Amino acid sequence: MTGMRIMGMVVLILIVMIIGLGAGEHWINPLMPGDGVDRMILLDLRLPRVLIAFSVGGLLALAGAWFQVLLGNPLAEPYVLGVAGSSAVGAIAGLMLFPHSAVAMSAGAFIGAWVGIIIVMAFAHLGAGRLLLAGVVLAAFWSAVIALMMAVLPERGVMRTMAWMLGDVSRADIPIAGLLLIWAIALACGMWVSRSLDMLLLGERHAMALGMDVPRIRRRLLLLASAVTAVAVATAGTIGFVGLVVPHLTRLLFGSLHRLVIPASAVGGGLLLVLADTGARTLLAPAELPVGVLTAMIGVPLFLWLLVRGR
Amino acid sequence: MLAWPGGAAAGERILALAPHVCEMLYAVGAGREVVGRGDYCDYPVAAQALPDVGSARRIYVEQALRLHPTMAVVMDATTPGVAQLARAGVRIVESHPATIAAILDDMRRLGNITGHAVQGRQAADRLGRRVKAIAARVSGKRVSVFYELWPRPLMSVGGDSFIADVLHHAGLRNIFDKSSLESVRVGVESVLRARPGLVIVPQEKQSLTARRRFWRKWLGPKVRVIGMPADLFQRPGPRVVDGLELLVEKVGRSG
Repeated sequence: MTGMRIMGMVVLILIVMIIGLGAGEHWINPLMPGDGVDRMILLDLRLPRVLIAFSVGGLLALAGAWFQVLLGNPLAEPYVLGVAGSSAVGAIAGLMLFPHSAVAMSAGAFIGAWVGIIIVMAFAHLGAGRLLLAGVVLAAFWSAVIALMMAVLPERGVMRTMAWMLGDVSRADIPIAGLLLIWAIALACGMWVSRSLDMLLLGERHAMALGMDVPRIRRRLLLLASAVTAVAVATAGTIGFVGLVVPHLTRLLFGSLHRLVIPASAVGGGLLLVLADTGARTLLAPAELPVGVLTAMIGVPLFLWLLVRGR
Repeated sequence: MLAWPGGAAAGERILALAPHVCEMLYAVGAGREVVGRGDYCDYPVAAQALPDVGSARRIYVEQALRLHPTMAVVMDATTPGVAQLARAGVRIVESHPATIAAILDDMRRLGNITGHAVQGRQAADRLGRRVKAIAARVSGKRVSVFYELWPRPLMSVGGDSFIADVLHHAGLRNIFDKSSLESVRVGVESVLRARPGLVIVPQEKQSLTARRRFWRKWLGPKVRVIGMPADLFQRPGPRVVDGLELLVEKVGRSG
């Protein structure tokens, strides 16, 4: 059974990769790109994009799965505790301070994400419900700060900020091997805590009765989920829906055992984002759409269909 | 609301709420009637001394009304604050030219309604003659060009845009002419595919050297990358003819 699932996943990855590499303004056969411009487009433009999209999507889905258990709330997603807001504030601050630097926005986003996380951590001991409430209120606060900064930002800065907030995986300055490594480490960590996740899902009291150090595990999980979100946000801006929809999709398909949900999310999130980005650069070619628009357009109908079918 | 004392055309008190509008009003001889300006209205220098009463995103209605304006020339009448100005009795005039011909028309029109009809017509005709002279200079062979409106996100201009019209006048072929969007977000891939012989980078502060290095990496060492002052090129005002002449000269210079 597990073998079948793994096989299925590998086949799915291959199909999506071929679509992601092949589709574009013009179709390029990924196995025989030929020479010249097609080869350059395939190897130097599409391949990095596909790999970035895959790892970022995977990270977002993992973070989403963790937050959903951690907060005991099916609506949780990577940005639920305001990390998207604080990282956007950091990104805009980076843009304001170093308007001509290529990495200032990413660095700012990463720092901003951690500032947001550290503030949220102060409320971690309050339990899931209050932590969630604190996160929602903080998110509102960050969006007010964003609005303030946008009001004083020159027009071009606003454009760049808007593009960042809708997500972009076409960046050329990402160390892709490092990103894939982070994805693999996150997946390994996820497998490692998967039993704890299953126990937490039963409820904190049950988990404690089973001998689990619940507060410590919760803190660890929060840190892990937040770190993963920070990496994703610094790499590609804020991309919605992947972190919310993919973990639920995998639960609908594979049940709620995290031994399955975690790897399926890490892969499924990646595949969804690869497809979304392929659509973003193909649908209106040569014009490109923000990838965040496509994740919602693919993710939402798919999710609703599965919700109805799953009953 | 009643008109202000001396409400005849000659005594207009004008708000110039977009950079190109400011430049046009001064060019048609209405500079002395301009009492307030929008953000980024920095040309001619005299305009910089005027109070700033709004941006492309919002008019600061209180500050604007304190100047007792009789007329406001705006790029877009739906900008927040414009409706309030209109309600306070200020005459709203829109100017959003999308071609060089429309710029000349708007100059004549603004000359007319500000009581400087003759000057407006003369200024427009002078510019028109310079544009014609350029048309005679540019050769039949159209070089394909990628106009890098903005590097990140990578953006260019579609065929209906004002900038595309300027490119055509300079004898160039905009590679994204088929797109009907005014500004269009594109991928490096589409630019590679279109193989432009020329890349134009509007320069504000970003380094031309960095962009040249970037585009040579993708398009090969032979591609020409030239910088253009953004103010001359992206503002639909009278100085666009200066920009056009400069561009034709730059394109012609290095063969």
